[in-house]
Amino acid sequence: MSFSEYIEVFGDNILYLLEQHVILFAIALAAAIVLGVTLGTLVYRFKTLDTLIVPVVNVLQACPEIVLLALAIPFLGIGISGALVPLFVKGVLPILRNTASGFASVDPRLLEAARGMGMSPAQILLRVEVPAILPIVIAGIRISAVMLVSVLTLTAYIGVDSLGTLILQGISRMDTTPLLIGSGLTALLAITVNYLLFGLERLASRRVS
Amino acid sequence: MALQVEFRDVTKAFPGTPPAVDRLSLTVEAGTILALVGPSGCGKTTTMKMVNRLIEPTSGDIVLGDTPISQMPVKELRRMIGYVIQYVGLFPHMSVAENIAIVPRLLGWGKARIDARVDELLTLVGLVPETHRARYPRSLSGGQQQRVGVARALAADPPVLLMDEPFGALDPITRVRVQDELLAIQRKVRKTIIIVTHDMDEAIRLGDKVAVLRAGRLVQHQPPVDILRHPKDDFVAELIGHDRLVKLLSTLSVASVMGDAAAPAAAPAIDRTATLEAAFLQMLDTGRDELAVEGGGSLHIRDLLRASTG
Repeated sequence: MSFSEYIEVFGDNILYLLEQHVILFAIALAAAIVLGVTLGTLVYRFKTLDTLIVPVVNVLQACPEIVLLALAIPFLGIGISGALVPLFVKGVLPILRNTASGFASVDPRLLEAARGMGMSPAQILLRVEVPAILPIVIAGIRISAVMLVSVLTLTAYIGVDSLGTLILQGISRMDTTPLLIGSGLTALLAITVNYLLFGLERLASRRVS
Repeated sequence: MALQVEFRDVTKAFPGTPPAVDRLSLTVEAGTILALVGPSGCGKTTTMKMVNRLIEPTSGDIVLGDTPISQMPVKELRRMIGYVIQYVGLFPHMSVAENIAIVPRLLGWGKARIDARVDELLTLVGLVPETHRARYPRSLSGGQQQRVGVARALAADPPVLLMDEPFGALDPITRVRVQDELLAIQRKVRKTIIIVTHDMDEAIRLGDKVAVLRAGRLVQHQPPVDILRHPKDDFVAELIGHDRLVKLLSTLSVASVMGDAAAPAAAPAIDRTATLEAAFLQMLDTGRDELAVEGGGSLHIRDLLRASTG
């Protein structure tokens, strides 16, 4: 089947898989952001947590994705949750690390100036710390997002529809057309996400740097 | 409006070290500038930070006007006290106007009142509201940032101003200019100002009185001229430096020691408001021992000798 024929026949399926991929990506990234920012804040506020959380997250980070997926099957079964949980976990570390180091990079003299002017801790957090760390946190999110877009293709191995399904199809049938379409769209998605978040990062750091 | 600040037997001890501030008693009269000066670790910054309760004293009390600060709510106290630190104190993600508006916003002022106040303050510190209010701190020079810092501290018209090494990050030429501007602003606003510095020259230039601290103790607390004339001990003399008497001459004006008698006809002229240092240099330069003061009167080298010993 030629390239144009393939698209004509399976076009709807390709769009469906792309949509699935984007949905999986959005859920995984949102979960990684919530967990990463929360843990990063906790790690910064309570230094002792550092020694507890960071090694665990580091080990999970070092683990190959396919191993995480395999390990998750006995616990979470085959399907969406089995696919998502191990993957979003991989997205947590860059966000956690950047959140914690972002907080640590705020000049303590600025915080003292804020206190000296009579700001409450909540006002200091919202008006001084958050704007200062935002570009750094977004940079972490960008790293996670780009990684998640490509890693999500692996979910096809445990039966979850995504652009990985096309790649798997291509490999098993020795057919380069779906292989190229699947990997091409994945790459395009990763590049788009990268540039969107890069723009956001620039916007947030416009005033700070 | 300005309020008197009185330290009553204030001690601050951190565990395991000698007291950072040791039984300090001194009064800063309303509307005057006190320069706290001394080497690193002498307790000057600790002393200042106890005024806005960034540090709480171990014993003793600080009284603002009639009220001991320990009896005032901390936030309310801090919003009554302008706080200037080295120019890192400006928030980089806020525009000049937003930085200045911080305390008025905390106090719940309306937008129109804040906008008017921002423009008024920018003008006061010598910046043009139209060109500067929307800019960000990183696009300003060190001197401009420092001026914005002063404007921010004055925003809610606080009776007291605390300045922690405010000009430490500026080059010497800019520093002198910004110091002069601060004095000009002070003539208009008449705040009670406590300024911390390790630079004795700065303390002498700015302070109505200078308090010299050493290892948490108050060594000498007097107007600059008296400290220059009679440093209490070798420590104070060393802080001032070997050119103590030159500094004294540069602190005093011609008008403060001149005589009424008319000068000889050929005597070179000098302005009444010139410093004695300038007069002395003119004498050395022209080889004359007497100058004619513009507007009548004369200055003889004997007057300088009298001035140097008080």
